[in-house]
Amino acid sequence: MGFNSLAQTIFSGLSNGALYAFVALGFSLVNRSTGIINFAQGDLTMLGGMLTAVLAQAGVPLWIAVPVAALACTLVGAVFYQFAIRPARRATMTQLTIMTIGLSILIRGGVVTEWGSDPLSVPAFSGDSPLHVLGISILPQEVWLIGALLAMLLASAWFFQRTMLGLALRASAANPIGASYMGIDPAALGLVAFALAGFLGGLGGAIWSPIYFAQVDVGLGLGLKGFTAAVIGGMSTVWGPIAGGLALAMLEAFTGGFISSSWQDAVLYGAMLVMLLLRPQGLLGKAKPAGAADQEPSTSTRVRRVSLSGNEMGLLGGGVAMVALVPLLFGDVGVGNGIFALIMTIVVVGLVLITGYGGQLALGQGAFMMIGAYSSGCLTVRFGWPPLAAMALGMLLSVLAALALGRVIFRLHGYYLSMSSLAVLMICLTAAREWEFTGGANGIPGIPPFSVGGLVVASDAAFYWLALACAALAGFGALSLARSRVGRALLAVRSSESAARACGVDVVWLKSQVFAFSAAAASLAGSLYVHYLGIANPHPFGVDASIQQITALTVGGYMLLSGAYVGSVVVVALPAAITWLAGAAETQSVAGLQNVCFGALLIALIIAQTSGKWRNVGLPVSLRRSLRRVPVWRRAS
Amino acid sequence: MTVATTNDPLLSVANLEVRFGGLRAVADVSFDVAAGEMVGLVGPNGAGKTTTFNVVSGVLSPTGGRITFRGRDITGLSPDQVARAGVTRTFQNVRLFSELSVFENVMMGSCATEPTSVLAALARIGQHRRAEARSRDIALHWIDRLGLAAYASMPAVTLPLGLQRVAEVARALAGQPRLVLLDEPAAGLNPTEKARLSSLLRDVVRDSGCALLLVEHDMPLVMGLVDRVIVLHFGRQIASGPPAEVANDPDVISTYLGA
Repeated sequence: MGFNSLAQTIFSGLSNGALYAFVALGFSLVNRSTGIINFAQGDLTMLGGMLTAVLAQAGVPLWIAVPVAALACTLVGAVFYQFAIRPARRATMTQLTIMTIGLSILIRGGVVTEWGSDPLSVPAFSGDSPLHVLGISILPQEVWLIGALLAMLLASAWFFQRTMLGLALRASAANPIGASYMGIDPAALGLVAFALAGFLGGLGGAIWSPIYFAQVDVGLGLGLKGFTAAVIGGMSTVWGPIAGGLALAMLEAFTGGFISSSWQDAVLYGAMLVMLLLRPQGLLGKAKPAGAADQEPSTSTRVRRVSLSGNEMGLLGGGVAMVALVPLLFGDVGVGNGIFALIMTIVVVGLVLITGYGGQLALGQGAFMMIGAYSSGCLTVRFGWPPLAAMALGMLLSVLAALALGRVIFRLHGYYLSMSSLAVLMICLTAAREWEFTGGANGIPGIPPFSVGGLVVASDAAFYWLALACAALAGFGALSLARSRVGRALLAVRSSESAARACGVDVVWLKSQVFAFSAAAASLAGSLYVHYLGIANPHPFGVDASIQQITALTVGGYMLLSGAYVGSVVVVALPAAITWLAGAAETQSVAGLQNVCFGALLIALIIAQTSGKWRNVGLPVSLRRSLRRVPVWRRAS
Repeated sequence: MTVATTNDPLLSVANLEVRFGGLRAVADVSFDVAAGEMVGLVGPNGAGKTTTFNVVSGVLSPTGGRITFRGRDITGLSPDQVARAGVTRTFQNVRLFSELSVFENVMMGSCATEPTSVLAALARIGQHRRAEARSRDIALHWIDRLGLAAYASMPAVTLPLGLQRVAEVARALAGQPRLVLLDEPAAGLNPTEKARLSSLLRDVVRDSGCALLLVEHDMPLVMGLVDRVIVLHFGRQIASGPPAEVANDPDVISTYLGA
């Protein structure tokens, strides 16, 4: 490779890196001042690009369109904080993070509904003719992007080091309670942080859009890469995210250049996992002082426990019975949708334990579903294994994978599981698409129906009962876990991790085991899915599925196993209802509407559950009320 | 360096050193605790008491020295490993589990002796049933013994501070430890509660034979309770011995009175 092409690779990496750095800066700004991992950061960036494109196509000059787009994103960030995050006063960090997921799909759905999902072109700020410097060709727009990044960098360095507001943000990040005693209002700072994050996203997206195109699909990938950049560089300094963004883009450019562009993303997310394993504080981050681990997290201790009374057993039984009635009441349509709802229930039951009880937001359950799906698919089709054995092997593999991942992730304090599980999902999706063994994008067709011994589950109705049996098994298994010393230990860890450890609880091992349970459940669900459809392909296990599972969890109530059934039914029924209501409208805007509905539902439900104002709004709250605390121990009195 | 005894000491701390960057919070501290003994760790603020405590309980790793418990090197173990080795603790700012009842809090203590396995709980095998039964029995025992029976099913955080401290002691004892570390057990208590706590601790040691190591600022309470006092000052040990003897030590008097 000559000097020129090497330099060209580095330079094209540099401009991508500048964009990732923009996203990563927004991430770390929000994370440092509020502790929230803002999933909507990538979509805010996408929104900036889309707005610029739409305004430019409407004939608005760029020098107006770009600032307007950036300010609109600033407004979105500020409004979201003021009217969603702030009212949710009693929300746990998990719930706040889920709200940002809600914003993310709300933006995505809104953009698709309004402007479609086709790429829009944006004219460059100052022409398209490349400049030639030292034999490298440079687009003027790339110079704009890098220049803007440098300007932002200087501005944020000045802001954090020289202004009172910057000082207040840093103080509040270090010690929110102490800072509030000094007269610093953490809510005002959160507003500033979210507004600035929106501004950074909007500006970055607006300047970047002429280089590629503005389109809706880039949001998720940008968000994940921005987070990866923040992890690689370290979030504790302003320079960390920038260095991380550049490092990530270099890695991406060289992977694309030397290995294969289709494996690019897998390599990047793999790098994030390796980084979390080896140097969780990031390249430039400072390691926490030794005593820091002893500090208690300020949120998440506020959750009141939903008591595990005998009623939960009854409710769970009621949930199973209710679902059992579906084929009788709704006929064939009910059976088909019911099977999907039951398969989702199995996944959500696992989430109740790891996310509800464990407080760890798992977004990559699709990865374990894929392990189950492809184990069943490959082993039955290629090697003629009996379905039950293939399913069991898939569950075993998922358990081992979850234990291994848990060992890495749960050592870290904070909310790393959400993003890293998503990264694992992206790696699995890439692998399934690119690997010949898994059949590529076409997948593995011709999977036989499920059978045990000579008994073949051939008809839809029979499969419905099989899925119901599995869902009931998962539900009651999870219930016995929740009521055992495992559930008690999970609640204890959430109240005070240091005290739980002092009681002898191996926190990493405990969470890993529970994560493994949720992985086994997801793997079971994946196996069932492919036996029902007869084909295994990556499509049904992507990020959309994760968002549906999280929505079902939120609808059902985080700590209610019976809620898993209710939530799954709602999530399966909602799109059907939307399609029905939207009538003959084209499918694309229906998909957009679905995202808008799910996003709005997530945000509204969490506000209702945690604001303390509308206590009787929402299914989970009324369900919770119906549970009365029954003391575990009555002999004392 | 240790007092020659026929039996090995229960806990032996040798040449402990902890540095935070350039600051030496603890420098060359050595002491022993014998089985069933009550030892008070005292000293002015910043003397290194809490640091010593955090090192013994595994929250911090020392930069030098060695901690031996029942003949086993426990230096640098994690807090849960230390608890399973037989050393449990309470916290200066009470850390009961807010989402659990008093009874469930005390049951949590037995995580130090009973396994917490997802597989066993799922399969509901005998190991799991027995673990739950033993946890329940031992929790019942200590709840009765420490007079918490009337509050057992209440959410732990609704108790007054004095009772919360007692509940924390019960939780620490439910792990069937040989040594309990008490971090300022009397902080924030009124005189009646203090007297009650101190007689309770005396009874516990007599009944269970478990040793106590406590950090405490309340001098009259410490002097009236413990068998032996260790005085730390600026990370160094300046005196060690029975309360009456240490109270008359000229170094100790000058430390406390600034003379």
